[in-house]
Amino acid sequence: MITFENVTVRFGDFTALPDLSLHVEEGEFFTLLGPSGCGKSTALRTLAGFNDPASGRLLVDGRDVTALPSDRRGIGMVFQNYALFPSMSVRENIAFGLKVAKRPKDEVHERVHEIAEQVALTPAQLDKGVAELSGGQQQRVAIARALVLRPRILLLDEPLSNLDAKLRNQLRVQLKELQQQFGITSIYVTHDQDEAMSMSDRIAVLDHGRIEQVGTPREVYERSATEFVCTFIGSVHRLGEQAVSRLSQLPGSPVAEGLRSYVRVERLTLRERHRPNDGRLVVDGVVDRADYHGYFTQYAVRLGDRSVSVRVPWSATESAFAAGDEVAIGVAPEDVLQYERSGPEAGA
Amino acid sequence: MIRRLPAWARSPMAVITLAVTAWFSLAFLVLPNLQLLAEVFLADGGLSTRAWGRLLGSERAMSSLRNSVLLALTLSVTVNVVGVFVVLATRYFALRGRRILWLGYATSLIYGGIVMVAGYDFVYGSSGILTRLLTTVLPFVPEDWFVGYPAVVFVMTFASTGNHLLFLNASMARIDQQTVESARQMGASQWTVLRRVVLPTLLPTIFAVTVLTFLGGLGALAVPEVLGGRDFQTIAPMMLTFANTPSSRDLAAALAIILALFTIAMLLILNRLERGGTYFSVAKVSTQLTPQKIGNPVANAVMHVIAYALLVVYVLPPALIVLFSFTDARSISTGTLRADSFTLENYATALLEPTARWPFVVSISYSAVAALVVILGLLFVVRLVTRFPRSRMSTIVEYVLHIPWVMPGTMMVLGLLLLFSTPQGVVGGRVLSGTVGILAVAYVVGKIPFTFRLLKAAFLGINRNVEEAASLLGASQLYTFRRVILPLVLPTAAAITALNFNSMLDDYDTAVFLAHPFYQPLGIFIRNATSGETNADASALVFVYSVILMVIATITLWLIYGGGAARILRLLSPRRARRRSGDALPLDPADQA
Repeated sequence: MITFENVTVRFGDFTALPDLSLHVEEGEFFTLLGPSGCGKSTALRTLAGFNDPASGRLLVDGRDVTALPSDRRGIGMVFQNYALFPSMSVRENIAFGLKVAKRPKDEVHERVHEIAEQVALTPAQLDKGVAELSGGQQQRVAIARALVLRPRILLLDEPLSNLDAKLRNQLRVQLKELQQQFGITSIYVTHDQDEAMSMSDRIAVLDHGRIEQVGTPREVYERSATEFVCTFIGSVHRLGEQAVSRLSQLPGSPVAEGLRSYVRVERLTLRERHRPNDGRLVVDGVVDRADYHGYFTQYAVRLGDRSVSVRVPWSATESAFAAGDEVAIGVAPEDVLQYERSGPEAGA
Repeated sequence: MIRRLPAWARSPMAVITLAVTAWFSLAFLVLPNLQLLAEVFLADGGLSTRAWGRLLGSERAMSSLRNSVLLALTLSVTVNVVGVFVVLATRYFALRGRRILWLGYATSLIYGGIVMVAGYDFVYGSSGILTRLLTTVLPFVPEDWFVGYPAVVFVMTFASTGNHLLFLNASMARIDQQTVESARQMGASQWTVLRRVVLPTLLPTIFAVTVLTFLGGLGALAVPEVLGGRDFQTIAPMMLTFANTPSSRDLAAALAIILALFTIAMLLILNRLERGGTYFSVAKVSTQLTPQKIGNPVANAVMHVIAYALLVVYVLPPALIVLFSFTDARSISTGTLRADSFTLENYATALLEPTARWPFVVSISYSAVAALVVILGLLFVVRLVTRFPRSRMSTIVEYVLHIPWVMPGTMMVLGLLLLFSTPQGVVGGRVLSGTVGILAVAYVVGKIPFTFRLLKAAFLGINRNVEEAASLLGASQLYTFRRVILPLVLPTAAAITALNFNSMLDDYDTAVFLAHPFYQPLGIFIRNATSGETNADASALVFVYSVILMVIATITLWLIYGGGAARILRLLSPRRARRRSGDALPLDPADQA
């Protein structure tokens, strides 16, 4: 459906996207994920037609759209700050594109009401000024305005970043439902890994304009292809050489020595000392601090002169620990992620 | 091939806008200044220093230079003393009747230029009300006591504190009350808090308004011309005298260049001050400053006495003008009031009599045309510059349009006068000096930098994604401009137009150089009425015009800075008003330079 073919984007002497190649399937919810300045918004804006690539091609259904003006690419976009027209009412905002396209009045009226209903905007809200709406409502207007023209592609540039945490979670679900309902191919830009993981069919993780990994959320999280992806997504601990050596000596262990080794914090286990190790590497420590978060507890455990953070999900059967308790931290060899000192994954 | 063209060159609208801007800038911004340089540095087909030699040899010219510098330096002190006092009295200290005091001091905002000169002349001039009183009580006081350096300094001091009322007042409002409270809590006295906490915070703004005051003193025309007398003429009146004598035009041009050099130096200082930034509150949530009660009863009494004495000085001339505008000719000429003196006849004459209202009609027409032309033209130019912000074309356009900001007004006007005294190819081989159009051109030129700066700020305030969203939705550049961008900048554009219109109504400094003999605006009429040879009827008309101008200025300032426009909008269309948020113009000293 959408293909970036060796696309390079430069701003003066700075190369924001060096040779990006990417393919997005029809109907897919595809996310560009990465830290600030990694080039994800540049990629999105280039597809929208706001940046001219220095080289490479952009294809939609095999058709080269690189030189097409933005309004001829069949793309709708929701901006980070929504980019609503402040001097117009909600209705005027949504109808803007239809009026530009000189659609008959009846059709404009009908389609505005239809889309407003789909994004849960009430008729009373349609006549309000956009400044009178809450952040969540403004976001729905922006989505409605983008969808009313029935584009084949929807671009979303961090559309939830201006909202509070609760509303963000709520709108994630609604956004995903809308995307599925319309069956529209969507490219979503975010630096929020939770958002990316929960909404996407596939994720491309970017760093310095280059793709580090493309895969489903599960692939990206559980089989991070590079050290960057492993450390960027979720929370990990880097294992010391001594721990790696001991892990490699456990029976049937896939762990190799001489590689950078990580384990995700939620894969660490925390138990009373002297309990069976279940084939894990076990290290004794003392609880320094216990932070209760409701559905999990975060423990700071002192191991000699180091402190390790362990996240233990709430459990009705497992007992909670307190500061000063003597505990044992366990690491299973199959949970270790390993990478060459520089370069891609060497084997997890 | 087409992709090698700069982005702006691919837009027909941008190319047309640029072509018109280039022609206008060349004809009315660049060539007039080159003409001035030519007058000074070229003679007999080659480089010449003759103008400088003549200037150094002219006692009058050298004296005017010395007087201008003296005036500028004196005003830098006196205006700051009075200006800082009035802001402290109205904003910082809890004086009784602070609102009345502020309203009285604020008359300097609605009452300036030649109108104010006429007002002070009516009170303090040789046949003024106060002079009559003074000479009756003290017969040894000469009738023309209010003349020369002290009179000019006195009038200009009270005329120039408007900048303090606007900018220093705004700065004072941004001081965090908690900084004052914490200083007091640590044992600092009221005086120490003022000296060590409040005034240092205001220092950048005080420096900025000092630069404006210095420039105002240096280029002053109307006040020294009317009140300076023979012995205290400054650069601008001298330029006017020299410009009216064809053989001395090189001297006028040389004086203009000196004035320009001073102005450029001062603006560089202002620019440096602006870059230094301000330091009002570092708190995320600052508390509004509340007026401080003066603890010492003696200091409190002294502050009240000075504050109300200044109120009288501020209010007396405009109040008398308003009062006497409703009296007959006899009252005006004698300065006395009786119950049967009051009449509306002056207003009827000024508004209904065709010959009497002519100067007013001329001023209204010039101001309206110039205000509309400058805003309409710059809407396109600023759109061009902000649409292609990184292009070299935008940088050049911006620099060229700031020429009238760098050059003193009198220099620009003199340049236009000298250049267009002969046929010029750039305007189709016509002579423009002496025509009706040249004054309108000068007004437009003079308003370009102010309009450009505020309009650009309004355009830059628009979220760039809004335009991109419109483009994705299929809108053309023109449609986006008309339907999306224009409604967003319209409130600012309307406010700028009102301010420009208002400021040109009582213009004297430009008109005195360029006005057509049959189309003389109000400023010239009022100036002529202060010459001492006019009759009481002319004075009555001047008073009526002054009152009308004050009313227009008050309405303009209320609409723009007093929230008046928002209130009216709320009354007319509550829903639309709710959609708009704060459209007030920013207050920046650099815009006033």
